[in-house]
Amino acid sequence: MKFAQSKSIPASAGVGLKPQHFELILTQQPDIAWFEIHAENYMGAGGPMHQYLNAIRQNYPISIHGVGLSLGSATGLSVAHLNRLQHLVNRYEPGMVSEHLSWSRHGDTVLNDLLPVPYTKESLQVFSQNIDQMQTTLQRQILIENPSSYFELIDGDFTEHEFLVTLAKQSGCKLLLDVNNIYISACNHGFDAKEYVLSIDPTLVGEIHLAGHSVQQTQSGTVRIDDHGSMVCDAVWQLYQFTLAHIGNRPTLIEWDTDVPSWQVLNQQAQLAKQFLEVNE
Amino acid sequence: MSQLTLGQYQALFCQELLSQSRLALDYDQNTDSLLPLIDSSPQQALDRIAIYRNNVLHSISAALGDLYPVVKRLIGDDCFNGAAVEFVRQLPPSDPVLLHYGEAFIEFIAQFPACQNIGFIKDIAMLEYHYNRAFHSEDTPSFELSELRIIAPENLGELSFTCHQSLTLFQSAWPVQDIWHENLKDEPELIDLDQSTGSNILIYRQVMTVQVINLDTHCYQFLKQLSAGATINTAWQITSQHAVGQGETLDEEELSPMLGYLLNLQLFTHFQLTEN
Repeated sequence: MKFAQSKSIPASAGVGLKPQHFELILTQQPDIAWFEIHAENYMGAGGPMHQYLNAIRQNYPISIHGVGLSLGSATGLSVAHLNRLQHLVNRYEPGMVSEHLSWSRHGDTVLNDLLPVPYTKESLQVFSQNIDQMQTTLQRQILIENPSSYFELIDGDFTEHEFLVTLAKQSGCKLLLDVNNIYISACNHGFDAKEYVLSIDPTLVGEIHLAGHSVQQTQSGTVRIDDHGSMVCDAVWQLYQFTLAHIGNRPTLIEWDTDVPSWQVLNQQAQLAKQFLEVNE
Repeated sequence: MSQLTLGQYQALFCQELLSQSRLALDYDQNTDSLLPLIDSSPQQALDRIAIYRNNVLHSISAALGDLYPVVKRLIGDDCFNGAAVEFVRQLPPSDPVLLHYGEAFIEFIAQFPACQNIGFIKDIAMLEYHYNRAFHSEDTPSFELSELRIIAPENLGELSFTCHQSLTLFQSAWPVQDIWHENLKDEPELIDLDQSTGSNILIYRQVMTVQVINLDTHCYQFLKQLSAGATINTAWQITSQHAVGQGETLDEEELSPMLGYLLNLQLFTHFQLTEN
């Protein structure tokens, strides 16, 4: 399959675009390499969200990150939603388009979360088919993000990293490696995060995500929750440096979606990522 | 997973996420349980399912809270969250774009037991829903008033208009615009409901800003007719008859300033001349 050429996103640090920062970005034009948007937040017909995004994309590369396509749904993709995504991609010509290794819809019910799939041959077939449909519709290569998870399912045919690599090779997509998610799942399930990173073929990785997470106590012990509501923790920064050493420099995004901080705080996180990228060059 | 297909697992998990949490004991008696599929102790599996359940209910409830901030403030966080979770369980979204979710919450919150005595809550919810709809509606510029120069003065009465897609009109027995506006402030002023009258609400977006206006009754009736496609003459005629029905007389001289006021609001995207 041949894909349309994308405007490239630099292997530098970007941040998730938040309405709280629209005005500042437009008036002060801060020194940041790129922005990522959540596709579904820009699927209204018009209004200020589009006006701002139109203005911001004049000065910065944009990546579109989908959270609602539910690539792991056994019942297939919502064609209506895929068409809306296509419309958005055509309108904003993003440098990258990504989605998740998860599901969020069953039949007509949307659960608005990134839910875990069993890593079986059947799931591999479902993802391959759905990713193929997505790439064919968008006429471009997409990236798939590894999830954070709170339980593992029995009787899988693959580990998560085996599943990801097999899927990428089979469907021709790239990988978006979320280092925070690797760390969370490694802590929650007791596997070695570095071994996970080392098992990923560097040529398959097109983007890296970083975010903060929280720690919750339950009756059965401690769980790490992927809430994107705080600074990246030291252990994740260390895993990020390890990842850069193995994979090489890639566009790196700071995600901060709940309790969105001031631009200054968010930008400091991006600058830190930028420093690690520069050291790794 | 050897005994379940991916679709069966997803159906089971979907049901689990939207239901009340259960104890391990309940699961032991259930053959449709997710528990045996999870690679951990039953208690840990329950704890982890609860995290997903909480994420699902919290994220969708939070979207409703963003859509209905004044309703949330009026009834309090606990009451709102309780109502929102119940609503999500009964009517979960069917579209991943949550910008389009939550219209049925207007009726739901009016019927919610803890809110049944708050007479204006439904109309506040109506205002907020349509505010959000207007915020995301299509960008269509209004026509320039100077374009009307091409219409001969004697034909003006036969003009009709197309309204901006964001436009909503509704009447309330309560001063909903005042209640809504005050409750956007950090320190709202008290509103004496006994001294208040009803309202005629117009909501639409003017370029980047959503406007919420309480119109004069006659102006509301006039705009209602115009928005339904009536010509200026017909709309005025019906508005005058409506005034008579209310024991009032509408002077012909009021037409021009009323029309001028509405045209200046930039509500209309196109105008058409109806041929007789």
